[in-house]
Amino acid sequence: MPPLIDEYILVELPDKLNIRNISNVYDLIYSEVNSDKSLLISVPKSADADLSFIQLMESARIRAKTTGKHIVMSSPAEGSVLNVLERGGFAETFSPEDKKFWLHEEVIQ
Amino acid sequence: MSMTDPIAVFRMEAAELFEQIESGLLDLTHRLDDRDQIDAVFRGLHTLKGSGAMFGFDALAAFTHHCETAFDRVRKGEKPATSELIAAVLAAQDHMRALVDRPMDDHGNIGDILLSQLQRAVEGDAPVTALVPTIQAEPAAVAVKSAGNTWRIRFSLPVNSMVNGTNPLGLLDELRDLGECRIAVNTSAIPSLDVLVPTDLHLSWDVTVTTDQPRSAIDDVFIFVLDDMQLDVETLTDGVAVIAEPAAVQAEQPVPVVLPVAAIAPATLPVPAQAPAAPAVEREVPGSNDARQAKAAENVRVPAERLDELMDRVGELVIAQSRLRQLASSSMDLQLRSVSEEIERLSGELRDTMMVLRMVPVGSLFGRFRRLVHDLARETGKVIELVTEGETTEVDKTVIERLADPLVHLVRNSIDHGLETPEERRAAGKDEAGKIMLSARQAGGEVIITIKDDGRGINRERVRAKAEASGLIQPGAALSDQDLLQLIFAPGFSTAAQVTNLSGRGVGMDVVKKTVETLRGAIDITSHAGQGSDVSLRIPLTLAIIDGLLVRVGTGRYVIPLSAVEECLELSLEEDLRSRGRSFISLRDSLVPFLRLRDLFRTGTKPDAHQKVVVISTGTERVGMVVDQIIGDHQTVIKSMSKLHHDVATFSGATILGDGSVALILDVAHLVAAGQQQEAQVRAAG
Repeated sequence: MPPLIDEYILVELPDKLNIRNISNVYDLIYSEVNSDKSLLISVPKSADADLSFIQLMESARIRAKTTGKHIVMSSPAEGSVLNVLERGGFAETFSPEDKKFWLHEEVIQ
Repeated sequence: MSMTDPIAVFRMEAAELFEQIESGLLDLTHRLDDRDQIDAVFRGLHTLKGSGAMFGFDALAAFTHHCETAFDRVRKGEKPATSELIAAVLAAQDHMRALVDRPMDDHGNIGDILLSQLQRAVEGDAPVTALVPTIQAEPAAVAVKSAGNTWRIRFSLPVNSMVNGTNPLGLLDELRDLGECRIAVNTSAIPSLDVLVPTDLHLSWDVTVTTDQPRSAIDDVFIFVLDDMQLDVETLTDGVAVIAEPAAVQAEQPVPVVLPVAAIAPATLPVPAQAPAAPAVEREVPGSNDARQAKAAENVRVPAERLDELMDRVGELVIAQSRLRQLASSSMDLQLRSVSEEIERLSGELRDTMMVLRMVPVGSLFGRFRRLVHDLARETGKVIELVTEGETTEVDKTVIERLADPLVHLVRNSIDHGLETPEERRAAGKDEAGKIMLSARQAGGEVIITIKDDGRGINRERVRAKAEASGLIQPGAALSDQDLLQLIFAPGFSTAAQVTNLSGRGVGMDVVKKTVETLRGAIDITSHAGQGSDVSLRIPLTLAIIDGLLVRVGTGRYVIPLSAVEECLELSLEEDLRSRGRSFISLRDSLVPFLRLRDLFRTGTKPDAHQKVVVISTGTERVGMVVDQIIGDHQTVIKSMSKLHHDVATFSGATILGDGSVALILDVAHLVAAGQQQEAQVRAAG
């Protein structure tokens, strides 16, 4: 069962979520993912994202899974994040779990 | 600028790409069907677009994309390369430079205008057959299926591709443009966050596209990343692979994922290392990569300002060494003397090495004139052939930077005033094409850069008339041929009957002379009616450290650049007294004016009993300078004058001597001019 909302750390990401700034974003997430709480990731509406960000989030999800924590997005992907998911071929291969994470869509089994 | 500043790095790369594009375009003007140049230009535009987008130069990326698309039609043989198209792309390139230099500026609708010009140039009426058809023989099975074929494309890029500016999304977009497309990403190679390098790429893709385009259209999507990537392309018939053709594969880059189709047709997917009959291009790829990597490893890009800093440090070291030498020479300590000599040798070698580091081939300066000549030929309707020689001659980078504008003036002047129109040349029995020759050669401690044309030559009567009319010389004044020709460098002088955009405003040639003189150089000029003119700039090889002659005037010490010193003579007290009011010495049957620096600097001291005359020259002009004592040669590290003193014309800089005191460096050009002026006044007075 997922933890309650107050057990999450809110990680507010910067606008620049692209290759030029991805190392800083990595540091931000990495420093929190090693705490004992789960992460609530907040992406600005005006974020400028590219593949490096999607890859980073997928990597963070892998890490969280192995440490028994959760990562959730504070809101469904939109703007450039959604655009990259669609253009990059992620949307076409989403598992139910991916859909829930990125789009906040529950798949009825 | 720091080398870690990505914007600065991009600007440097963009500058190289602009050079590549411009050079390719200019070569193309001579051979419009040269496929290598067409490909080189296209590659340059494509890389510029990709890098621009990567570094956030969105306007540049968008504009370049349109140019690339237009030029792609030429590359594909759909449209011919024409001189109009080349001119349009060159103009577009200028706008790209502006977008790189000033990305935040409002550039108005210049881009739209240029793109519409480009569009018109591409759609011109020139015959399409001028180009060689691009599409080479496709594999037989592919050719048969070229209409409405379904392709399965699996690819992965090197891990460093994103950080190197490749955007995989752009490749996927281009695949989508080919036709109906299904794209699946494979994320199974993404590592856990604790081992992830966030800038590395761990994704790969499996794309199915149905298109009526040939196989080559798919290869074109990957043309700029093909060398380093893993790409498998196969046609699909009812879901079964019939052709499996790995395009270009890097052996050390294994596919990070195992895809289902690999299991479907393992026998038809040849392992790259076992493919003996691979096409030549595939065999050459690893080699060419190695060569590129080896080349990259041989060179290190260093910001110019760091070289300047290093030069400053070397300068300080030379000064400190000079002080040490002075101390050692007054000491009886043999060990101290030995160490001083050793440091002197080492600092000398370090200085020489540093000098070489600052040297840049003149070719980097000459390269930009190809574009200038191209544009001026179009503007004037003249046929111009540019010939360059001695591009490998090396000059201090500061000299290169400061010579650029003067050379532009001189080349413009040669083209505008010197070269005749094709009709005039035919009438004079000359080739229709006028020749402009830019050459460079080293002579001693100087480099001589010559701009030569085979045009009509300088009209001496017109020069004289103009000079007399503008009061530069007295009517009927006796002038040597060189003096007459040098008048064209006088401020405000122009013989052009009509002011054009190129020259004729009389602002430029005097600036040329001033610039050359500030570089401690000189200009020689010769001209023959009907045969052309020859302007030679003599510039010292370096500006940072010079060999100087240290002299004493009164109680002050001064440095005269040794390269300007012709000889030293003794001026006896008697001769000094006899020459009062005349200030000329007789030097091998010619009178040379001289300046008493003691008077000029108002030292208020009595002259030494054995004064010396140091004869200095700039080109053909000579002047003597009377000093009290010649101390000896001196390694002179040039320090700029402060802002407060920069307009003191007699001195070009200062240096620090071994005892820590300051010596001013004499501005030879200014002093020679002052001496010549004195001579002219004496002659005028009869």
